[in-house]
Parts: sequence; structure tokens; C-alpha cells
Amino acid sequence: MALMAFGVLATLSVISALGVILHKSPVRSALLLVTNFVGLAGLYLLQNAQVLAVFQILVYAGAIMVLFLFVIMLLNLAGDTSPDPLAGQKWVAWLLGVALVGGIGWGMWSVAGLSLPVSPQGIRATAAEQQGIQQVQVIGFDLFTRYVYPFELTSVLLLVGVIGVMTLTRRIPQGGSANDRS
Amino acid sequence: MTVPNHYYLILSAVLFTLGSTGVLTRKNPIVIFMCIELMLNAVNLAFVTFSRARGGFDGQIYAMFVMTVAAAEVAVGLAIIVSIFRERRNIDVDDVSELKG
Repeated sequence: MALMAFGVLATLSVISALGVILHKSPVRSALLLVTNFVGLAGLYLLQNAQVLAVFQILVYAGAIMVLFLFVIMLLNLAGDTSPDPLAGQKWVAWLLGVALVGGIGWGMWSVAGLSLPVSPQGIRATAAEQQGIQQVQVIGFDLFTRYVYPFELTSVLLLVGVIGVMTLTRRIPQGGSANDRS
Repeated sequence: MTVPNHYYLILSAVLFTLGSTGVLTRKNPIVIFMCIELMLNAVNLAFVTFSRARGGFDGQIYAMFVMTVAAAEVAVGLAIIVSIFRERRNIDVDDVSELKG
């Protein structure tokens, strides 16, 4: 049953990823990317990562894709219509892709057979799960204790991102610097 | 019957490769950004798989950080694309080569 669900979701995500890189129109690429994100959210659910599946839908399929579609609408882009001056490079790129999937796949295959050591946190988390403590509780506790510095750093990163975007897209009025707009 | 871990890892490798091939073959910078998102998602899938294999939620927390960084990166990247478009009405990556040297 789980294997069948995996097969369906994996096929869905691989086909939609192929569509993203093969479709001429950026809007269709964006919509296929949403399909890919939903497929991956299903795979997270299949792996018992419910919190991450919800975040995947909220953050990726919700926020990031709206941003993409908004920019495509704003720029009113046509697809890749101009002839490619370096068409031969595409074949090289696909060959390199085959080599890459071979390399990563071989590495993953050899590492998947190993029995990974179970971390102390893993033991604690399994114990918590057996006591009926919710997964989101354990993740939240870890996020605010062991991972509190990375967590705070991401908030700084988001703040810098917001300020950077505002500086980048602000229109500077003609005949004056950006500062004297009073 | 549960799905073996290496199925997920191979799927993650395939998705990552599709993303990187897309970055190499496409010329539209917005589609290139989408392909970068594909690669980040493939890595998240590997994180979740290893997290389940090892027990605990460390991999899931890493995946959350990856999502945050991806959100910031998309916002800044799309702002750069918009400002390039304002400057020259054309965002084909082959034409934007001022920094080539």
C-alpha cells in the first residue's frame, strides 16, 4: 500500500519536474512546479513528517509560487522564442545530468545500506512518541533549545532579505539621490 | 509494507539532477530559479529520509531552515530580475553579460 502510494507520488513529481525544465512557457513551468511541490508534500506525509508536509504546502506551494506567478505576470514574459546560439551545449548538459544522477545515485545506494547510528535525540524522540507527545511538540522544543541560535539567525536573514528587496526595487526619482525625497 | 530508504534517496538524486539540468539548459532566469527550487526540494527529501532513518527530527529541522533560506533567496532573486527588466526590457541570461570581464 505504502509502496503503491510512493510509486504514484514519485512518478508525479518526476514527470512534473521534467515538465518544468521542458515547457517553453514559464507559466506552465510554474504550475507544474506546484504539482511537484504537492507530490513532495505527499512523500513527506508518507515518511511521517506531517509538520514538514504542512510547511511545504504553506511556504512553497503558497507563498513562493505566488511570488513567482506575480513576477511572471508583472514582466509579461514570452517563452524562449529566440533561437539558441549554443544549442549544442544542451546535449552536453543532458549528458552531464546523466553522469550526475549516476554519481549521486551510486553514492546514495552505497550509503543507504549502512545502518546509521541512532542519535540520543532520536531515542528521546522515539520515547516521546511512545508517550503520546505530539511530533510538533518535540520539533518545537528542539527548535527553541538546541537550535535556538540558527533559528534566530534565520530571522536576521529574513530581515536582511526584506530590506535588500526594498532597496533593490525602489525607484530613484529623476534628478536627485534616493535620500532627498521629502 | 514500508518503502525502503534507498527508494527515496534515488528519487531525491533524480529530482536534484533534473533541477541542475534545467539550470544548464534554460535561458529564462525565472525558470532557472524554479529549477533551483527543484534542487532544494530534492535535498529536503534526502534530509527527511535520513532523519527518519536515524530517528529524531534533526533532519526535519534542517529542512525547515532550507525552506527559510529558499524563501529569502527567491525574494532577493526575483527583485534582481525585476530591476534588470526595468533597466533593459529583456532578461535573457545570454544578453546580461556586463560582468563577464
